[in-house]
Amino acid sequence: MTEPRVAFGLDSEGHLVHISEADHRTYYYRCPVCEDFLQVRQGEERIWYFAHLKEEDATPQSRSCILRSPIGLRDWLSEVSRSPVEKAEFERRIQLSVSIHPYTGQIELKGILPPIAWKDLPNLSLIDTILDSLSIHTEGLVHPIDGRAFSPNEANVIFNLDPTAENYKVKLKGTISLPSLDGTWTANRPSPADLFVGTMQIANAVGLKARLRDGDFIYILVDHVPPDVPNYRWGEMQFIGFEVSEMNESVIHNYAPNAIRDTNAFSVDLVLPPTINPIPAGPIDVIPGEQVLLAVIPPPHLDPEFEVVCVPSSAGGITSINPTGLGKPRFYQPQVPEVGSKRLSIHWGSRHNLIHLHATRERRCNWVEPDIRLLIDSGHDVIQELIPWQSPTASIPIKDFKISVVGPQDLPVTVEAYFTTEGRPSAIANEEIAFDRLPERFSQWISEGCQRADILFGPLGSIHLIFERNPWENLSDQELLYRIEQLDPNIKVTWNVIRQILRANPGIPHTEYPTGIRKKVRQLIMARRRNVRGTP
Amino acid sequence: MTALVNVIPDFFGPSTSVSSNPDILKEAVIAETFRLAISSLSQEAPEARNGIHTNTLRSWIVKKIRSLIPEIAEARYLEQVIREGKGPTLEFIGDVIVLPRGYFIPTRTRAIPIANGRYGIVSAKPTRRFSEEGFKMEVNGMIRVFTDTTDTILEQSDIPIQSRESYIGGHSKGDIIEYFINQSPRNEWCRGTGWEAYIGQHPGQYDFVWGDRPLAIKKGDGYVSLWREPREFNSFAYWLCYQGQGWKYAIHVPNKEVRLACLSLDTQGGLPRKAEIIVKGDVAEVRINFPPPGSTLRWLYISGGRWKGFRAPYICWEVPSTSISGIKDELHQIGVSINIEGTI
Repeated sequence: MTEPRVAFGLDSEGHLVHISEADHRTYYYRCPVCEDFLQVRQGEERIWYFAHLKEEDATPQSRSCILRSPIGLRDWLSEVSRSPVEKAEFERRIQLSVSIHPYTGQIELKGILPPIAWKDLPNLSLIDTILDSLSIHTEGLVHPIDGRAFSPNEANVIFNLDPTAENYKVKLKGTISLPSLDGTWTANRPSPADLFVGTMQIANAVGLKARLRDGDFIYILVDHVPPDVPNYRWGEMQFIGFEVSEMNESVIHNYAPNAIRDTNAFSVDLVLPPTINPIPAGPIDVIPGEQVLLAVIPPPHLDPEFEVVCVPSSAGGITSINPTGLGKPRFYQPQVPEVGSKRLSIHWGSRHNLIHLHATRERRCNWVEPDIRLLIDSGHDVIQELIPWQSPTASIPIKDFKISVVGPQDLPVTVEAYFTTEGRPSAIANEEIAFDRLPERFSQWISEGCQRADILFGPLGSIHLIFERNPWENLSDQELLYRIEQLDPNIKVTWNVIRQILRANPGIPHTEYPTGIRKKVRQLIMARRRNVRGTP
Repeated sequence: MTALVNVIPDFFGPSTSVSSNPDILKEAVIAETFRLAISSLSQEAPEARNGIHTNTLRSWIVKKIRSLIPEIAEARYLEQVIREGKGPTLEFIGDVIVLPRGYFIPTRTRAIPIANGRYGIVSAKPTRRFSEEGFKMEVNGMIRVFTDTTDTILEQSDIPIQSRESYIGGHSKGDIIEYFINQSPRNEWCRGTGWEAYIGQHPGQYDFVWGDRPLAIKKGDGYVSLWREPREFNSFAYWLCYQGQGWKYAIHVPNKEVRLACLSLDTQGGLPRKAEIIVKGDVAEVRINFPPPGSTLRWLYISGGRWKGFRAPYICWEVPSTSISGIKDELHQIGVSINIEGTI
C-alpha cells in the first residue's frame, strides 16, 4: 500500500513548512511527528509532497510513524487545523494582551477570557441567574470581575492585570456545568522575549516561535531597552514596540530569537463591512444581516488551499477555500451570528488567522468635523464670527479689537495683506501661515500699516478683513503740508479745518485727534503765509 | 472587476448611483475608501482629531481594497487620488485638508449649488452616511453630487451651502488688470535679460504664448501688457507693464493669477478666448482653447466634468448637461466667448 502524501515538514527552526514553499534539500526537513528526515518530492508532473525515508533507511520511530497511515495523517491534520486560540482555551490559559490607553497613551497589560458559550445554557431565561451566581476567584488582577461580564452577548471578558503580580489566576465555577468556562484559568507574568502581535493599539501574546508578518505591530518584553527603538513601560516591565519589516529583522532576531519574519505569510482582509478596520486585532462588531466579506491573500508566489475552521472546532465543520492562482486573493463570506460571537480561524498548515465576528445592534459611529472660525471681539458685547465657506467681509476698527481663531492646529492658510502709504498701495505681503498664528501676525501687520487682508483657505473659502484706521494714521509731514497748500493761506485754524485736513469722519470728536495737531497745523499755515508774502 | 462591482452598494449605499466606467469606478472606490479610513481611524483614537498620518491612512486603505484593486499597493498610486494626480484630487476638490508633515483631517461638509436641485458635495464624510440620512446621490469618480434636494433640506441637515465664488475663489477681483493697477504697489519698470511678453492668442495654439511683441491694452491714461521674468528652475515671475507718457511702472502679478490676467488681456484686447459647448443628450462636450485657471478647473471638476484630452486647438471636457448653465456662468466670468450647439 502506498503511503499517504504528507504536505508539511519541519524546517531546522522547528516551523511547519508546506511542500510548496520548501526548498529542494535533502536531509533537511523533518517529520513533524517522528522527527526523522523527509524527502522532498517536487517533480514536474506529479503532486508535490514530503515522503518518509525508505524503511531500511528510516529510524524505528519513523517506521511506525502515524503519518505513514491515512488515518494517522487525517488525525494529525485535524490537530493542525485547530486554532491556537482553541488550544489555549482548552488548556485554560488566559490570553494576555498589550494595549495603549486611548487617553493617557500609556501601555497596559490585560487579560482576556471568553464569555459563556450560548450552547452551555440549557435555558435562556436562566442567563441572569447563572451570571449572578457565577463563582469567581481571582489572583493578580487590579479589580475583581463581575459575573455579568461573562454574558454570552459579550465578545470577550477583558480585565486589567496587576503589574506587581507574579502570575494571574481566574477560577470560575457556575451553578450549572459550563464546559466553555468552568475551571482555573492561568497565565504567567510575561518574561523577556515574550512577544505580542497585532496593531499598535492592541496586540495579543503569541508563542515564542511566532511567525511575524510584515506590517504587524509587535511588542517584545526586554531586559534592557536598545537605543533608537520606541519603548514602553508597564510597572517594572519594559517593552519595545515597532512594525515588522525587513529593516527591523535584526531587532526581532536579537530580542525575540525564536520568532521569525514570515515571508510566506498570508493575510485575511476584512473588505465588508466597509467601515471597519481591514485588519482587526480584536472582535469585529457586525450588525446581524450585514454582509461580511473576507479576502484571503496568499503569499505572492504560492497558491495554497486554505481552510476555515470554527473556534472551537466543535462549533462547526471545516470549509475549504479553493486555490485561485499564484498570489491571487480569494473571497469568503461567513455567516454573521444573530447574537453573541462567531470565531473562525482561516489557516494554511499551522499559520492561523482568527476572525472574531461579534453581533451588535448598532455600531458606534461618531462623525466629527473640525470647527473653523475667526472670532473678532471689537470691545462690544457681540463677538463677530467669520466662517470661511461664507466668504465674509468684515470691517474692523483697529482700536481695541482682538482676533482669535478656532480651528485645527497648523491649518495652512494663505494671507494676502495690503499696505498703503499716503493713500497709495505700497506693499502686498503674501504669506502661507498656520491659521493659529494669524492673531500674532495681524497685530504686527496692523502696526506696520496694513489696510486690509484676504485669508484664503482654498476650496474651504475665504475671509476678507478691512482694518478701519483713523485717516490721519501714517500721515506724513509732507502729505500734511500738501493738504495745507490746497487751502486758502489766510484760513482761520478751527477744529473744522483740522477735520478737513485730517479727512476725519465728522462723528469723531477732536479729543481723539493726534496730540498737538492744532498747534502743528497753525505753525505750518503761518509758515505758508510767510512764504506766500515772500517775507522771511 | 466583478468583486469590485459587487461591493459598490455596501460602499456607497444601495440608492446611490455610481458610474460604471471601470476607471471611474476604481477612482470612486479609492476615494471612498479614503473617506472610510478617515472616518474609522478618527473614532479609534482621540488624538486623531489633530490629524491622521498619511502612512496610517495608506496602510488602512491598501489592506481594505488590495483584493479588489491590486494596483493600490503600487508606489504613488494612492497618492495620485489624494493629492498628486493630474486630474481631480481629494485635496483639490476640498474633501480633505492637508496639514503639514503628512497629516490629514476631514473638511467641514458643504454643498455647492451646481444646478437646479443638484449640489456638489465637498466632504470627507463617507457616502453611505449621507445615503442613510435619506439623500440621493450620484458618484462620478471622486466627485459626489446630491440630486433632487433643496437649500432647505440641506440646511435642516446642518449642511451649509457654499457659493461658487467662495468655493473656487480666483476671480472675486472683477477686472483683474484694473484690480492690479489700482491695488498693487508700483515699481520702476526695469526689463531684464530673457524677459518675454504675453503676445495674445496664437492661431492653432491653446496655450498662452510669450514673445517679443506684447499684447497691450489701453487702461486709463496708459497701456498695459504682461511680461514674464525667468527665474531659477524654469519658473517665472510675472509683471504688468503699465506705461504712459513719461512714466512706466512694473506691477507684480502672482503666479496663480497669471492665467486670469492673460484671459483678461485677450478679452480686453478684442480677441477673447473661445469655448464651445456641444450638447448631446445627458452629456455635453466643453471645448476650450486655453488652459483653464485653477478656479475654473475646480468648477469643472465639481460640476462632474472629466477631461477628454486635446483636440487641437481645443482642450475637451465631458460634463453632465445639467451642469452647463453653471459652467457657462463660470466661463463668462473669465471673459471667454461662448458658443452653444444643441439644446440644454
